[in-house]
Amino acid sequence: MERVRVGFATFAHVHAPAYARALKEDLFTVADLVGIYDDDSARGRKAAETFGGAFYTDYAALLADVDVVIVTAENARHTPFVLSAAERKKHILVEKPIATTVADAEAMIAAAKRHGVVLFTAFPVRYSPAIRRLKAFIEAGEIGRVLAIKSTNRGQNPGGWFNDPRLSGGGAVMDHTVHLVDVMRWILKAEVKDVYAEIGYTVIEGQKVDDRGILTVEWTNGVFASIDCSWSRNAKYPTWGDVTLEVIGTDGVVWVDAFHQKLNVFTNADGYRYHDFGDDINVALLDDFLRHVRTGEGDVYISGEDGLAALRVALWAYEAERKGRKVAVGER
Amino acid sequence: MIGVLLVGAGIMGRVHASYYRKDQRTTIVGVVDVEEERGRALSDEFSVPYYNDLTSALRDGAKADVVDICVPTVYHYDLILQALESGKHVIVEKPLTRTLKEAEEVIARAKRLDRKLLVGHVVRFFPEYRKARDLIAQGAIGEVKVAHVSRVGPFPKAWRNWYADYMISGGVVLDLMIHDIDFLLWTFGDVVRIYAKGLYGREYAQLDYALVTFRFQNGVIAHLEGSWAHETFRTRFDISGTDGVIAYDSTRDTSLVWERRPASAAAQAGVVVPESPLMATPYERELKSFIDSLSDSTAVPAIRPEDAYEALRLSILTLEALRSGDVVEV
Repeated sequence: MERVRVGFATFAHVHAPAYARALKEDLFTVADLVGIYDDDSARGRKAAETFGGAFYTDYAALLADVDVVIVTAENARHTPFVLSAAERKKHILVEKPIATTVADAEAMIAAAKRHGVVLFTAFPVRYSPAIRRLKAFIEAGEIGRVLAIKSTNRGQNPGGWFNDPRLSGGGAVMDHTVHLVDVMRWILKAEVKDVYAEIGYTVIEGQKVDDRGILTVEWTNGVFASIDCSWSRNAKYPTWGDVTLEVIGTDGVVWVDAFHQKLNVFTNADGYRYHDFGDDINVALLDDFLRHVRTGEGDVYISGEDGLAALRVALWAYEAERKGRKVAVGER
Repeated sequence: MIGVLLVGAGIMGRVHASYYRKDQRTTIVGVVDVEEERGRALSDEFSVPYYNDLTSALRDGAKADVVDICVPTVYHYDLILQALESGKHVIVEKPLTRTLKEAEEVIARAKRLDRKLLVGHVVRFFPEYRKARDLIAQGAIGEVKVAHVSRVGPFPKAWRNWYADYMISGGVVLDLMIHDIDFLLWTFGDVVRIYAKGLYGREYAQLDYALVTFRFQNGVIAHLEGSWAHETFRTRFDISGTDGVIAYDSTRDTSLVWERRPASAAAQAGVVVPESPLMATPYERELKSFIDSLSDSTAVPAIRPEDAYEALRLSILTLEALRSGDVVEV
């Protein structure tokens, strides 16, 4: 496959523009944005105008014209888009969380396997150079044996359907937990053993939405960790949020603040803002996904199973909150 | 003149002593320490008698109005009772005592004997914490939702390595995290639930680390990090509310950083020491408030014994949460 023909299954998710921009500005030598399907036609048309490609009102028609589809629909609506793409032998990049239920995620994984297509979960944090450096440090034994990790993925409430649990599957816990769980799984090569969560809810437009949470997890290798997944950065905070990990080892400590390569910019128009000068990890993720599609190999393969493993932890967090106690994995 | 009998001539004892040297209202009347050399070194500086134990100091009739106790936590209880029984007020480093039962007893005794019991929860006198609390109270960040507090540093090296004995020190939770626990209680009120994981019971050998979550009555979720597994002392907080965020990092938000060049190229790397110079250090502010409250019998101390008790109670419940591995309802 010389050039990859790419389609979008809706522009609902806030990350869709980042992928479209990456295709247009960074990956134009290897891929073409062929078209965008969206059931919200105003949104779909506007995206097609901005990033190029045609606007499709028929998903089957889009699938006929592309090699891969990027599923950036609402969290709970990924499944039908993924299943029909797989049936038509199209490769799939699916936005995180992979789904909002285990059954949906399992159906996607099975379909991709059956039809022999790439099902790739969008966990761009794996491409952060600082996270890679952390992984290399740990693998080289530079901080000894890992004992504990304190992590945060804080941000702002994205608004819209993110506040409708039927479409989002949940608020901040569903939105942010998965990134850190995936990175820790990847680095520790272990699975989560038990989960506890303190979760806070706010009523937004008549819906009860979790906008903050602190999870505490134990990994199968005995490492314990906490995850702050809160939408706790206010509108005038100098940046959108963060991804941080503080790793305690027997021989040292490493801090990663993945988006802290920033200029401190003070303007009369905007007050104080961070301007990130680090690498664009969305471009790196998309580039790697396209390489898998073109050549059958790439840098890392972030599978549907990886997506599911991270989703499970978010779901256990809600369960722990409902039960008011720690939830051990596999308990009946 | 307020006579101070100083018990413990270690690191904290010296910090307190240097305050009394400055406050014209006070005079050190004696120094007690089980280690004669260390005790005499300090008592000689003040030209006052040295005593091997509190009993002999009190028997000797040292003209003390207040006994200031800066010794390992596990010895607080006996010394406090002894001082109170001899009619002295007490200043004691945090934690108040090693166990809750002991704390109840010393508080009741102080009340009965009408003596003041002043516990060194010094974080209340760090202006960054006080200011954050004031801003929150003024509603600057709206309703608080998530509060991170962190206090990390190297494993403390002290007399007979007492911090390494969990039964004596209570580890990083009881000795270090208690500062942030006190700050959170002072700022957010009552806690309803605690969940905690830590190295205690797994790795406690010159290394301790704990991650703790408090749920407050008012809905605030607080996450506490306490560490004796880091190389550099550092305190941080990030408190977020509906209308804003208050963040502080002691290694960045300071007014002076001192970088030491090593004496020779072969020597270890230089040491970077951030300082936060103030006209009066937090310890001086704390001790001044204690001495103020001793000078005016009607003054309410900035830290009531009940506050110290609550900080200790929540710290001990945190240790229980660590041990049990599940939620502890407060």
